[in-house]
Formats: sequence, C-alpha cells, structure tokens
Amino acid sequence: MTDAESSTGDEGVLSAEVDSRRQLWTTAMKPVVETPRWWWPAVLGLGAVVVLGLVAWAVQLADGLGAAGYNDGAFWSVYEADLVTFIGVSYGGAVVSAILRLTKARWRAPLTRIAEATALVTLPIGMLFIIPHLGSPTRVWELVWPPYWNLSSPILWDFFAVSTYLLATVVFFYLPLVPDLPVGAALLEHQHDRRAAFTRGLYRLLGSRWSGKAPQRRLLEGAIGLLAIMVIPLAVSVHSVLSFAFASSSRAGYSETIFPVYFVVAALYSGVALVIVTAAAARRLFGLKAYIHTKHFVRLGFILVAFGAAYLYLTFTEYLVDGYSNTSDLAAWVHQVLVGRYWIPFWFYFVAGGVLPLALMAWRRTRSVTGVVAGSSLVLVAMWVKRLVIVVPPATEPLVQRTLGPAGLSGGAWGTYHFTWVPIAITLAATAAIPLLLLVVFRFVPILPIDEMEQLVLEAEDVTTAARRAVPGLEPSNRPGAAGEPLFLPSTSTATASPPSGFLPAAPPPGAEGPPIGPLFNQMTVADPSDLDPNGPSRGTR
Amino acid sequence: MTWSCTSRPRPGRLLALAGGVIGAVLVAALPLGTAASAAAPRASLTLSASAVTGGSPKVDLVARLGRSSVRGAKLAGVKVTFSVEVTEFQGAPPLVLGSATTNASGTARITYEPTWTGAQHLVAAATTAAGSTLATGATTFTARSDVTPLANELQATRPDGGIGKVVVGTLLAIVVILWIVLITVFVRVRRSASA
Repeated sequence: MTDAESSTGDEGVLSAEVDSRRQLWTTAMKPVVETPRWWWPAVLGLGAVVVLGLVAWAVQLADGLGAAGYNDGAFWSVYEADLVTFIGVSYGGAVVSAILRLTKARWRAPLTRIAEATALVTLPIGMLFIIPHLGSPTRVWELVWPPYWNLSSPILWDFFAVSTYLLATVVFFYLPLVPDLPVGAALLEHQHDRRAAFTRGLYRLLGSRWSGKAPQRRLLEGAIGLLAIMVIPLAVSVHSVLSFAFASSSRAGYSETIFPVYFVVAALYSGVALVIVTAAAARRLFGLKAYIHTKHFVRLGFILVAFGAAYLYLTFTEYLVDGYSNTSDLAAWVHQVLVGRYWIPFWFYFVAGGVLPLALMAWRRTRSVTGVVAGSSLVLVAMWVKRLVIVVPPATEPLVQRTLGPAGLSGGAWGTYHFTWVPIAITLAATAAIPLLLLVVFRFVPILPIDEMEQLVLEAEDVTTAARRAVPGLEPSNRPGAAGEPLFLPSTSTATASPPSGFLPAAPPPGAEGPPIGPLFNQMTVADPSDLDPNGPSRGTR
Repeated sequence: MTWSCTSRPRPGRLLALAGGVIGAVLVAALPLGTAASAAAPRASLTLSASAVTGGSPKVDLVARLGRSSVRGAKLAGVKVTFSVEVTEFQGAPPLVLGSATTNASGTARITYEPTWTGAQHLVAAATTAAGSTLATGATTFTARSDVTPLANELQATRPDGGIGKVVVGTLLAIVVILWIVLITVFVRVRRSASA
C-alpha cells in the first residue's frame, strides 16, 4: 500500500478514474450482460468436482459411513469439521457487512454485495453437510418433525438457528439489491436473448419498480438497519448453538464452556478470510480494480488479524486451563493434541493459521493485496485443519476401557481415523460449489451495489459542499456549473443519460424524462459523447 | 558343519535336508505377507472371558500364550491387544478395548466394562515389538451391561427440570418472532418496490 493510498479518506471510495456513473453501471452489470470466455470452462470444471462429490456421497449411501473412514473408535470426523467450517465462513460476509453498515464505514461499499453473496452461498452448503454427517438421509426429516424431534438436542436447535440465519441472510442480500433492480432492468431492456428475458422477469418479480422516492428510501434504509442489527446476534447464536453440540457432551475436549465464544471468533476469522479471497478473485475476474483497492484489502486484513489474535488467545486459554486441571482424560487429550498423535495438524494451524497471517500483516512490505490474500488463503486451510483438531481427538479418546486404569497418559487405546477418498471428494465438491454458485449468482445480480455506491458519493458530496461553504471562495455557488452539477461527469452540455452502445438501452431524446431508476439517473449530464464509452477514459472534474 | 560327497549321509540329516527344501518351497510359494509372518516365531493364544463379581458388570479378559508352541520366543513381555468385534459400521475394524503385557507365565489380563448387553465376540492378538502378529485367540461371551443413555426417569427427576421447559418455550417463541419479522420486512420492501 502506498502512502497516498493509506492517507485516502472515506471519500476516496470512488477514485478519480472511476468517477463516471456509466462506468459504474457498466462494471456492475458486466457479469450479467457479458459471458467471459473463461465462464463456461470454469462452470463446467467446478461442476465436475461437484458431481464427483455426489458420486462419493452415493458410494457412502451404498456402503455406509464406514466408507468415509468412520468407525467405533472415531465416530465424528470430516463432515462435522466441514459443517462447522462452511457455516462459519458464511459469517464473514453477513457480519462484516452488517458491522460496516452500522458503523457507516464508507469504504465498505464496493465489498458489500460480494460479502453478502458469499454468505448467501456458503450457508446452504454448510447446512447440507448435516446429511452425510448423519449417514442416512431417509430419516433426516425426523430430526425436525415435532412427533420425533428432541428439544433437548443441540442438533434441533442448530436447525432452528441456522434456518433463521439463512432467512436473514437471504433478506439481507435482497434489501440492498432492490434499488439496483430497475437499473439492471433498464440496462437489459434491449437484450433479446432468453437469459436477459429471464433476468428481467426475475427483477420484476423482486421489485423493479423502485423509484427512489423518499418513503421508499426511508422504508428500505430502516429495513436494512434492522436487518444489520438482527444479523449479528443471529450469526452469534448460530455458532453458539453449533458449539453446544460439542460443549454439552461429557467428552474431554468437547465439554468446554469457552466453546461458544471460541466458535464464533473462529467463524468470523475464517469468514473474513473468505471475503478477502472472494473479493480478490472478483476483482481480478470481473475487472473491479478501479473500485476495490489495496486499502480495502488492508482494512479487511486488519479485521482479519484482530480475529486471528483473538482466536490465538482463546486457543491458548483453552489448552492452558485444561492442561492445568490435569484430570486424566483432559491431560490425555491435551497431550495427544500438543505433542502426541495430533501434533502435526495442531501446529500446522498454529503456524499457518495463527502466526503467518499476523506476520504478513505486521510487515509493511507484505501488507499488500498479494500478502493479505495469501494470509487469508492460509487461514482458510488452517482453520479447516483446526476444526479437524477440535472434532477428531476427543472422538478418538477411549472411554470404554477406563477400568483398565491409566497406561501412560492415554488410559487405553486411542481410536484412529483414516481419510478415505469419499469425504475428501465431498469436501472438495463443497469447496468447488462456492465459486460455482457465486458465478451463477453474479450472472443475474449486479456485482457492485450501484445505488449504495451512488448514495455514498452523494453523502461525500454533501460533506465536500459543507466543507467548501466553510472556506471562503469555495462556496458551491462559486464553482462553475454549480447548479445541477453532476457528481460524476463534467457539465458542459445537458443531456439525459444515454447508455453506451453495446448493451445499454438507447438514449431517450434530449429533454425527455428518463426512467426513475436511481437517485442520480435524472440529474446526469454529459460533457462529451466519448465519456459514454465504457471502455474509454473517464475523467471527472471532482 | 560342512558337507562332503565322500561322507556317508545319515538318514536323520537327509530327512532334515528334505524337510528344509520342502519348507523353503512352501514358504516361497506363499504370498509375501504370509511368508514374512511365517518368519516370526509361532505361538498359540487362548482367550478366556469371565464376569467380575461385585459392583457394576465387568468382564475379566485373560489371554495365555502357549509355552509349548513358542519354542524360543519369550513368553513374558509380549504385548497383547484385546478387541471386541462390532457391527455399528460396516467394514470397521474391531474396537480396541485395551492392551496389556504378558507376565512370566505368558498371561495378559485386562478388565473391560461392556457398554451393551448381549453376545460379544472378543479377540486378543499377541504382537512382537516389531508389530507382527505372534498369535490370535477369540472367544464369545454373553455380557451384561448397566451402561445406558441417560434414563428417562432420571431426566424426569432432574432438579430444576421445569426451568428447562420455560427456556425451551421462550426460545421457540423467539424463533417464531424472528421469522415473522424477517418475512414482514421482506414483504413490505418488495411490495413497496413493486407498487
């Protein structure tokens, strides 16, 4: 990060090179309108991995959980770790977006859609892991059907918490999308292929008659504020309840009072890492470098290390307290994790998921997009391994031969979990499903929150205007073209916005009232027709 | 000892030579794993199980290495691993119950607390320090167990059980309210944006 970038304030969300609204629309809708050459190969490749996972699941259905390496000495393993991991990463998107909205951090704008979409796709994937984890899907319904359900079971409350959180995530994704729907519908007006027609129909269904009038905007802003407040405790409740599945048992290593907080922080940690990696991929693949800058990654990186440091502290606390208590089962478990049979995955987490990301952010030279993305990638892998360290060792600790008495520290023979190709294929399939679903979502939804970014520019303009008023000689009335001056483009001629050729609809005649799509649509004026070229340089006067 | 063409071989030596050749051919014909294990000294192992009297139901498992068949191998200090065969997971290996080291008379013993009532197929395996199997033995024992999940009557008499019911009802009400709020927000915004 350069000094110039680091000193940029919130008003610098939209830099000079992207201060054209048209360029914003073009970029935001590009994945919807155009099909990049890599899109189909990527979708087919990722789809193939997903199909492989489905085949593996079919094998498990035929052969039983033993095909996944489960046995009496290791009754929980990969699927439980996957369940916690995938539901956990959905946190980053929703909670980070909610916190940034509530704190009115302006730099969030280009990231919120990507973050909320990430939450939207990862949560259902995580929920699905309950099916292979339980074994037979034919009786899953009994889990949540009142005559059969067990209100004392954390699994049932997992279902309540996660399904409520899923609904909140869907609504939280939908609300900021509403003002963008008319813009998207207008941009697709002259597209005549079936997908464009389907997308327009989808937009109509979701509410493309948004006009941006004051009552609508008040309602929307109130709803988004309410959801932002609701999402945070909901997300916390989800992982707390998920941790109860472990904490309410009587096994050493599971029965931990620290687990609800531990799980929530872990989820936030890995969730922010996934948002960073997704934002970096979207930035590169969809040409968002003009909107998502180094400073976005660095700021997310700082959030990442805050959660990472908190997680390291909680890890230290957990093992210190359990090791210090030195009861036979806890001591055996701590011994096996730290220096016994599980030392490799534990210390892998410690180095790759704890120390290295902190080091990458601490060193100024690596505090870059590459450094932050590398650190986040390490966090994603290491936190999955850490979930395995949480799940597997207590599940393999022997309890039935306790009467044998302690033989060494273990007190008996530990069970062993051996990976098979089945859970590996299913885990890879779930991993591949994240980018696959994101590619599909952004085929129908603008990748940038158009209205939100415009609103933030309006607010920034208000701030600037107020500042100018405070400085003699810089009042708005003294500026050239102050009255009705556009925010993004110079104003030497007035013409209602006409979209650039290619995919935007034709311009309405000069003086005609444009469609009410967005707060700035009707104010937009252009200086030069070349400014309408989405590929050409777009230099603003602000 | 050397062999000479002029010396007259004794019948005992000829017999031993023939036996050695046949043995070598047989070993060579066996699969690799079997040949390797054949190299280890063979032993016999007898496993017996008996109920421990008094207290909660427990099973005494005793494995005895046979002296006559070990021939040269130590009887003491051999690790014996005890397992029970389970059918919970298809294809899963036997559940290891524990291990013990044989004493001077070749006996290894553990006490096992069964977690279910019924016939249990128990297995003991004596292994060398290198990990190869010396001998295995098995027995079937009808075990009795009082290890059960938390009994319903215990739940019914749990202190402050009534509080739990209130908590459950409250939590369910919160979930319902959250769903109503979320759906209402969605419908109101959508209706506003579709008007």
